[in-house]
Amino acid sequence: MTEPRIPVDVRSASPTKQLVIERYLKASPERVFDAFTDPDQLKNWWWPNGFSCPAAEVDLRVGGRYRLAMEWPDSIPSDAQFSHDLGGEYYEIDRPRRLVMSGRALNDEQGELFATLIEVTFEARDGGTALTMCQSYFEPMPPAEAMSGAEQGWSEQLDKLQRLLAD
Amino acid sequence: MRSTSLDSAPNRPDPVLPSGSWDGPAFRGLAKSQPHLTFAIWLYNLTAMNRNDPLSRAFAALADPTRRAILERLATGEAGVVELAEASTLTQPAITKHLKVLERAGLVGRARDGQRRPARLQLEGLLPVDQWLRGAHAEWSSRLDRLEAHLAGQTESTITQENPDD
Repeated sequence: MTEPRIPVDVRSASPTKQLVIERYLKASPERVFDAFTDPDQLKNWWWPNGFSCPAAEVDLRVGGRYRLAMEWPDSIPSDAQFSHDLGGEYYEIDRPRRLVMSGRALNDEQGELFATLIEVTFEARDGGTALTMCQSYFEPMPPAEAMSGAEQGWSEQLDKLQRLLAD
Repeated sequence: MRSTSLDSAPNRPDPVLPSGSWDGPAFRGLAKSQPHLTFAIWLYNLTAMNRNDPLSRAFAALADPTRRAILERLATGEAGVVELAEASTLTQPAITKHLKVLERAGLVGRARDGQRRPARLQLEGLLPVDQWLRGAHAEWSSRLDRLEAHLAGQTESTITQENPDD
């Protein structure tokens, strides 16, 4: 249970499940793309409501890595909090059309908890951006219960992005 | 040390846990006072639910008759999913699901034998259960001894009262 796990090769493994989220954002594809790749902007919107991203590191090149820290809302009892960063490698960087990266839940103690592939496409539409985010999950899967909240989490997170872009 | 939950993601929560454990008073309070934190509260719950000890996992796994039947079958020797499915009315995916629960509870081990992954009984997984039952038994045994002594004393005094001449 505690032995370090070998990172999943998310490009060759076949996904067990895929989550697709579509969202229309009133900002140009360039702005939305940058919000996904600029560490200073990521810190302002990544993670769902109440969570914060106190640190973001981005090495924006194919094969480069990123890491986004996670901090829980204060109102959640601290004994129930567990933090894991989201990190991974960039596989495709095609500004402002497409961004593909792995999304790995990383924990200092145990390394990779689970791995996903995140594919985001940014399509110019009506002066804004039609965003499609596809997250693929692989064995070993996150808990079924965790999966059931993923959509809610993304939705809250994209709400934050939407507000940020409206500013 | 590992007090937290997705920490133990490799050791995922059992689908058998009652949904009630998600919905404690702490959850309801939070959900009411901070409705916008839907995801955080949900994750908090997941954490709470996930933080179950080996004993709870073992008992939860044993609570299901199908899984007990699987354990009984495995007591006679290791078996694969196909074999277990043939011996029951369940489909192979259903058996696999139950095996996962048993595996997480430490009651079953699965060897990696090429494509085939036969399941075998892992008796040491029953240790926490056995220890708990022994403790409970010892406690009840001494209570029953005291009850017995108490009843014996009472019976004597009752008899004494009913037959004051004895």
